[in-house]
Amino acid sequence: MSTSSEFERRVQATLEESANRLDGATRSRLTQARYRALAQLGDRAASPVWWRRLSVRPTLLAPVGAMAAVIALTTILWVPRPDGGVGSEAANSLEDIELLADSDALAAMTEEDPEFYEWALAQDAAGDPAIGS
Amino acid sequence: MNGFVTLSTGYITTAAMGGDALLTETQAKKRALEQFLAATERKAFKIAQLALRQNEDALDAVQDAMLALVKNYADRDSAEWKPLFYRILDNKVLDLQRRRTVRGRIMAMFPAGRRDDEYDEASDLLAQSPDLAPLPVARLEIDEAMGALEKALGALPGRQRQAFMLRSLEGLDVAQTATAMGCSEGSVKTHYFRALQTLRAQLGEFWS
Repeated sequence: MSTSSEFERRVQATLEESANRLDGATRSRLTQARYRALAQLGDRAASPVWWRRLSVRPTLLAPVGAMAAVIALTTILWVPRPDGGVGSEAANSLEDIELLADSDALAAMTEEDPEFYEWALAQDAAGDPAIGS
Repeated sequence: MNGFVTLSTGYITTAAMGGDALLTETQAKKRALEQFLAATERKAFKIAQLALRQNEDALDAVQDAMLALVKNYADRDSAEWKPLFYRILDNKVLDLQRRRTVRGRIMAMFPAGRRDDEYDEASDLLAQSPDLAPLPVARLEIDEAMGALEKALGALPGRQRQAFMLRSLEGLDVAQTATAMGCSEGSVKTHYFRALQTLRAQLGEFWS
C-alpha cells in the first residue's frame, strides 16, 4: 500500500483534475457569477463614501425620511394665510384626513345616518360649495 | 505616479511605472478579487457539489458566497479572502441543506405528481443511447478513480469531508481551515485524519 503522503498527493491530483474538467455550462455559470459579484464593486465605487455609509444602514434613513414627510405635510397644510387663518382648502383637507383616519366616524356617518350620506352625495353632485366639490 | 501599486499579499503585484498604467485603488482591488475568484470558483464548486450533491444548488451557493465576499470583505487583506470565502460558502451550504430539509417535509405532505413539461430522461432515447466515441484507457482509469473518490468523499461525515477538501483540494493550512470551518485547529486535525483513514481504507485498491 502507498504511504500516506503519496496517497494524499494522488487524491489531491485527482480532485484537481476533477475540478479542471468541469463541463462548459458549469464553467460559464461560474464566470457569470464572478462577473455579477464583481459588478457590485463598480457600483460601490460609483457612489460617494458618505452615501455608501448611509445606504448600508437603512435604519438610519427610515426615521429621517419619515420626519421629512411629516414636515412637508405640515408645511403644505398649515401655511398661514395673510389674515392669520388656515386656508379653507387646507382646513377641508385636514378634516378629510381626520375623517379617513377615524374609521368609527366614517362608519357612523355611512351606516347609522344613510340619509345624511345620500344628501351629501346629492349636494356634492350639484356642486354645492358648502361641502366642497 | 511612480512606483508600485500593490495590494497586500498574493493576488496582485501590478506595477504602475511612469504614469502610463495608472491603476486606481478600486481597479486594483477589482482585479485582485477577480484573480482570486477565478482561481477559487471551480474548487469551491466541487466542494459545494460534494456537500449538496446537486449542481444547481452548488452553483447557487458559490454565487451567493462570491456576492457576499465582494460586498462585505473586499476591503480586507487579500490573504484573508480564502478562509473567509470558504466560511461564507459553508454557511450557504448549510442554509441550502436546511431549506432542502424543510422543502422535503412539505413536499412529503402532498402526493407526488409529475408536471407535463418536466424532463423525463427515461423517455429520452438520445439520453439513453450509448456513447459511441471510444475513450482512451488512461481517461477511463482517471474517470474510474475520480468516480470512486467522489463516492467515498460523499459518504464521509460532513465535517470530515469539509476538512479534507479544504486541506487537500484548496490547499488551506490548518489555521486557515479552522477559520473557514469555525472550529479549533485540533478539530481540523482530527477531522482530516479520520477522513484520510476512511479514504485510504476504501480507496486503497485504486492507488496501492
